[in-house]
Amino acid sequence: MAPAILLIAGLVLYPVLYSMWLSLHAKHAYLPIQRFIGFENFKFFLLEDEEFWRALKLGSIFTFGSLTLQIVIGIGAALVLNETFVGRGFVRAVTLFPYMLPTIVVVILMRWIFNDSYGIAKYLIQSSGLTQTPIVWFSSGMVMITLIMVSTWTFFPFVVIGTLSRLQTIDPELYAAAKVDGAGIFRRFYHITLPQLRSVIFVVVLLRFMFMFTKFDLVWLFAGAGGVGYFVRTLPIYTYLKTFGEMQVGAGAALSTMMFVMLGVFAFAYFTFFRREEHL
Amino acid sequence: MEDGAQEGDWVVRAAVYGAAIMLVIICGFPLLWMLLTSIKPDREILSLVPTFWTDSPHLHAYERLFTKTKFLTYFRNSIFVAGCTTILTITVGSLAAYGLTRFRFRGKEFIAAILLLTYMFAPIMIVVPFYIMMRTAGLSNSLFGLILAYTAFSLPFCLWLLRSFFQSIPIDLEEQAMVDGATRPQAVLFVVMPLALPGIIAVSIFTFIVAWNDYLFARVLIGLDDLKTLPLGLQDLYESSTLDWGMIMAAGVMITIPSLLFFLFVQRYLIAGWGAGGVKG
Amino acid sequence: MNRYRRLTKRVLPLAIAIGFWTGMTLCASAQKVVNIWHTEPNPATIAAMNEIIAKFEKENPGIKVIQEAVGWADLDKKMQTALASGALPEASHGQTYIERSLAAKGLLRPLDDVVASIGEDDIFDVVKKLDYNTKEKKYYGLAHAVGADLIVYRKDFLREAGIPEQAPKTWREWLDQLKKLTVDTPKGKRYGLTLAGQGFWANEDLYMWVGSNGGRLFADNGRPTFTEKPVLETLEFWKELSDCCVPPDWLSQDYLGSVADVAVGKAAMVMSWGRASGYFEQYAPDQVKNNEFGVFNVKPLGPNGKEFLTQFDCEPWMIFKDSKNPEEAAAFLKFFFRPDNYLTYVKSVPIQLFPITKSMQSNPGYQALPEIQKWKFWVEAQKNIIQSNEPKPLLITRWQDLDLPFIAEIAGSGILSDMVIDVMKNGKTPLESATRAQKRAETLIGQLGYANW
Repeated sequence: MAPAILLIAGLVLYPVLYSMWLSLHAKHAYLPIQRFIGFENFKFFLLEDEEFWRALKLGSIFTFGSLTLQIVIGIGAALVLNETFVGRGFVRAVTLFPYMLPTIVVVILMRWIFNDSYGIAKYLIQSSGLTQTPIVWFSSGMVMITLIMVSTWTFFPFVVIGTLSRLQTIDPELYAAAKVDGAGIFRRFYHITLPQLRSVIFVVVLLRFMFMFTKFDLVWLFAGAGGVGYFVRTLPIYTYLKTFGEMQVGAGAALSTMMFVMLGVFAFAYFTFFRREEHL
Repeated sequence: MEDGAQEGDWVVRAAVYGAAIMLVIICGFPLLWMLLTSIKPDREILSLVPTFWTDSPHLHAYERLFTKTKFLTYFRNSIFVAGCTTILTITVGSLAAYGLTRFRFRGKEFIAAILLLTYMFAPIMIVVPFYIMMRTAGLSNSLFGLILAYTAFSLPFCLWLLRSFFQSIPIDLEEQAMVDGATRPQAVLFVVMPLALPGIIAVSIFTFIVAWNDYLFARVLIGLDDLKTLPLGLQDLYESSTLDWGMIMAAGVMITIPSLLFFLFVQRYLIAGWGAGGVKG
Repeated sequence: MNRYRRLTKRVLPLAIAIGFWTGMTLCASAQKVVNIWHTEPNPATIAAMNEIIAKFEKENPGIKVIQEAVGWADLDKKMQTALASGALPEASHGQTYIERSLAAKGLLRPLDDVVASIGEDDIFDVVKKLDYNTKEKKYYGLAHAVGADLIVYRKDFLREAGIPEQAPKTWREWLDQLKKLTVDTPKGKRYGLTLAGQGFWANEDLYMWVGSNGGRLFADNGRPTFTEKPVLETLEFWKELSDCCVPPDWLSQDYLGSVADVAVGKAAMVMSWGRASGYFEQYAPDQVKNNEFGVFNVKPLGPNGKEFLTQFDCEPWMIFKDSKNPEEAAAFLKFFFRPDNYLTYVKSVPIQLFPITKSMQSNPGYQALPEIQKWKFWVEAQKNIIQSNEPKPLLITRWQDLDLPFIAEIAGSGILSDMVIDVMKNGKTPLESATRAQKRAETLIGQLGYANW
């Protein structure tokens, strides 16, 4: 018990509290400049800085877009993988593996596949005749969609794992009984499967929301902060930009603190609305 | 299912197979493409009209990967860091989770709630103070520092998951063992742990992935070439002056194949692990 | 109890390993350790550095040199973290403007003795101009090697379009060339020029073009001058360029991607460093053999321009005064620049790591390198610029800007790159986007406490 608390407190909580304290300062990233300025950083972002609101908007689009797809595809895939069919073990392993790939491999691979000059994606779509004009996956208009697709690809297995494990604990007799009552496949899904999945979906959505909202490495390695990255400059990226680009550590800390508060409010609302008698 | 031979189930069967094939294509094609690229000659790789198959496949990219770079060192470091992190997390995590469920003390629920809270901090927020701490402790440029970092970050989720596993194991079982003369550690080791095994496996995999995938902390903590983990080594190869696509793809394949085999092996445990109690209703 | 023994068996190796680690660390600290960070993570340069280090350690028992090689964008971040924690390496590469701001805060050890050991006269003038701090009359940095950004073109495409191999003198002439070079081919569209726009690459083209248009980015008092005519004209020119002659995904293109475009024939021209030569050899071996790559000696001028400005790749070595062993680091740098060792270094990326000394330039060993033979025109073009033009580092349009204390922050803020994107993709006029960027930059400089206007 004690070692766990010590580790978490020392290595996670201390840095967090330190950052919150920093958010009240104007502190340079590497020069010895630091002065207390109270809530100036927060005031600047909330009242004056249009870039902050833009980052919040882009971050929300990315988070909700990716989250929705991950959940829908993840649950769908789990339902399929829960059926018995030839080669199920193999299909399960292949389905889960994108989650196992290091982010940097995912990014290199996807930048390669969606490359405008040599990418196989462009070639396949063009030769299939789906579109007349080739899709430029990394153009200013498309990059957010490409990013959402890629993040879905690599993270939906997390949802599969959670859902599938729950599906396996559903008593098969429930289905048998429903069949006897003449319930079709959709009614069975709606009345048996979905209620059973409720609690696991609740947790998975919460976790994935938090992970996606604070996702840094994938977005950063995928598009960077500038260039086309301007069109996917989410809050974590903007935080990075403030901290390591503009060297304003205090301002970066203020952004992280605001992100933390937003997530806290979200989680609280989420619990209040959706969680009833069950407890964690 | 024996009673599945109803009318309409044919459609479901077909749909299931269709969806399974889709899944394999969507998840597996990028891997296949990586593999194909890695065995192509250089000038076919950068071709404005991509060729699917190459007539002169070769393994030169792999040869370059193993002779010209420290890929094997990176690989070893990654395995070492992820392995140690997993062992450490499991040890510390199960003890703590056991304590949380078996002993009475104030603030128990509060601690459980705060565990989830830790994931609301963006990692980017933590990295600078973390580096300062590690530097002060003399642990920058040390794999041990990385192991500590990853342990701290996977612990909350693991604790939380393991806690629900331990909760689902009736306390009577170990009390019975203790009545029969076992000490508490013995009871835990022989009675509780085997029952919690699926959960422990699920948690191990999650922890392993956290440590295996991380880029941010490794980047800040590690600079020595001999200590780089795979994500760092690969990123630096990707950015170094002459980008060798074949070699990068070969590296990707070499990283992917072990994880694919690993998943093929553990997927049943992983899924059973979650189901047995992890995220129960 | 045997369980405990079993447990102990498992824990013991871990404990021993940790003990071993601690022991190693303690042993190592008996030696003087010099940590060296540099920006050339390619395998060849790491090997070259290892060779130099091994020799140095042999001649200087008691000193241990540890190199860490990280690409420059990551090194910036790494160095900031190190500076923030006060746990510094002994020596590192860095951007010139960072070197200046660190020197201004008294954090660096002067390198005059290193310069003297090389022989001040032997160093190219423009390198001295770059690294000599006129205020304090000292060197606080010294470029490890240099390079100049040039226009690289494919001769076969110029021939095809009927364009003579002559450097365009003005932007107008260049645009005419590029429009003729943008054609449809059976393999897809080929563009006149390819640009790198990922991250903050736009910073680089922006300041070069503003400089080539007789403009500046900051006034004497440091106030941004983004709304001045030369900047607006640059944005207009850029927009025209982007619309007519550049691949549509250039904003996501990194530098190597842009080089690849020319290697495979997706574009006819690119602005590039010497390191691209290795890339061409790998991906366009036939064209290299047929001598189809060429380099223009000069860059075109904007309507207001008198002399062209190109980028100087010139990251200096610097030594941190408050690190543990700065003197030993200086000894290492002197050793590093000794001709035999320096040759080992520059030959690891020969076309990119252009030596800073005249003597190395004419060193027979250097001249005999096969890459120098093969790419002589490229080396000569760079030499020409280093001797007769005044290339400048990133975001520096005038030498005096080097002493502005906020260049690093402006470069990292993305404000300039965003200004370019606003014109290219967001439908804003140059004046609108420049006005917005000006406001953002002034706010930033104010927040940093440097607004002296």
